[in-house]
Amino acid sequence: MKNKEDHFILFSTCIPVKGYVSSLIMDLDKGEYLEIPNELYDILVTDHFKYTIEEVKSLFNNDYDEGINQYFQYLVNNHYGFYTSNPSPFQKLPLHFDSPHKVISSIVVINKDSKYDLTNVFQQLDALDCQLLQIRIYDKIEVARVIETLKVLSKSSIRIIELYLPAFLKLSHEVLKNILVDFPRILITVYGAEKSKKVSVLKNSSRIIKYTNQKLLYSSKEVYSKNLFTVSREMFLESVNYNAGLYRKVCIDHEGSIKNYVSHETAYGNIKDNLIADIIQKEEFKEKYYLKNDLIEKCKDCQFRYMCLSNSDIEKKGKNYYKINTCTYNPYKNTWEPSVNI
Amino acid sequence: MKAKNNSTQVKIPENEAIPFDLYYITSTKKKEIPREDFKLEMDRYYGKGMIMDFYKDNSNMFYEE
Repeated sequence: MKNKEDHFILFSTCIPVKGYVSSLIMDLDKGEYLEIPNELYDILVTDHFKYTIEEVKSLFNNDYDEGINQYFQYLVNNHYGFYTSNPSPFQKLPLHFDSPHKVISSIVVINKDSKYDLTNVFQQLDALDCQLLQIRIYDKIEVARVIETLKVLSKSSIRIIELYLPAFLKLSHEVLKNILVDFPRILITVYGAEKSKKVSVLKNSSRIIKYTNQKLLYSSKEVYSKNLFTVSREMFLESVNYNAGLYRKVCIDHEGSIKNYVSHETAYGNIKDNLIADIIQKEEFKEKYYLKNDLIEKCKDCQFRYMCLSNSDIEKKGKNYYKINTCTYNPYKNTWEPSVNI
Repeated sequence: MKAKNNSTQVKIPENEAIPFDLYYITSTKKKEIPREDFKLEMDRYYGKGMIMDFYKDNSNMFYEE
């Protein structure tokens, strides 16, 4: 029950985010978001530590009294905020983000022409405390050699190794199962399969082999969908400060070129001649770390900008930054066009 | 009448300086935590994919509606 002198305070992990025509509240603890009108956003970002609910109403000329009553009660009932007569002990979420990992994520591309030393790449990534490793295999190559190479990571600190294999390699179910058994941190996706399905292979384990009928080409673009958004405290803090897709990411393409992301044009060196540790220290390599969604046209007007992962390259036209591969969401109309994956 | 042999029912601690409860607790605890098995169990836990959780994805290349 609220009293006349009460303040309404959002929980510190419930963050209002404004879009061009629609806003939302990200609940970083529950990992969910609530879509709200922009008018409510404006009300929520007034200084509730200073003003009581009645004072907030008068700040808006008492035009929204009934709406404020109902919305605040709704937010309290759904654990987004609370009433208090003394807001002073409560604090806002500090927005600082740092990571102990010199490399957070990496993608390594291998095809039949790849001549670089894979073992050396894995060892370097491990030494840089890489957490997410994605290995994309194109062409008919000897997968056994790649698997053998992965043994250097058996005691590494890499959390997740995603292995993308083409269906035309025709690896048997038994072979894939053995990879999962031998490498507990590997997730296998077989692309270009006849039919999309998920196959459970181990008893008492949630680990599966994913088969998808979608193709993976060098030109394939990332998919954007509401269902792929990530609402978490770390993702939010990283997105507020950095480009969540490219921050501390380093990728090696099939020729050994070291890039921010495999589909980007700019290469900053080659794994045959350079150490990854040296390349990621270069200011020009790190430049895209700081191009966060708040600075990019369209993204800066999108209410999903702190939960959306994009590795797109960014170009500068005049004073403005633009993503080259953008999503199909239109924040100016609040509509989605169907996403198309090549 | 032959007296019942209760020797198996009551165990007197070998060292009388240790209170019975403490003796019981330490000896059973010791029995319940075989270190080698524990280590194996942890290895198995490590391998079950429990650590395969991270706050974001690497890239979103595939998505099934």
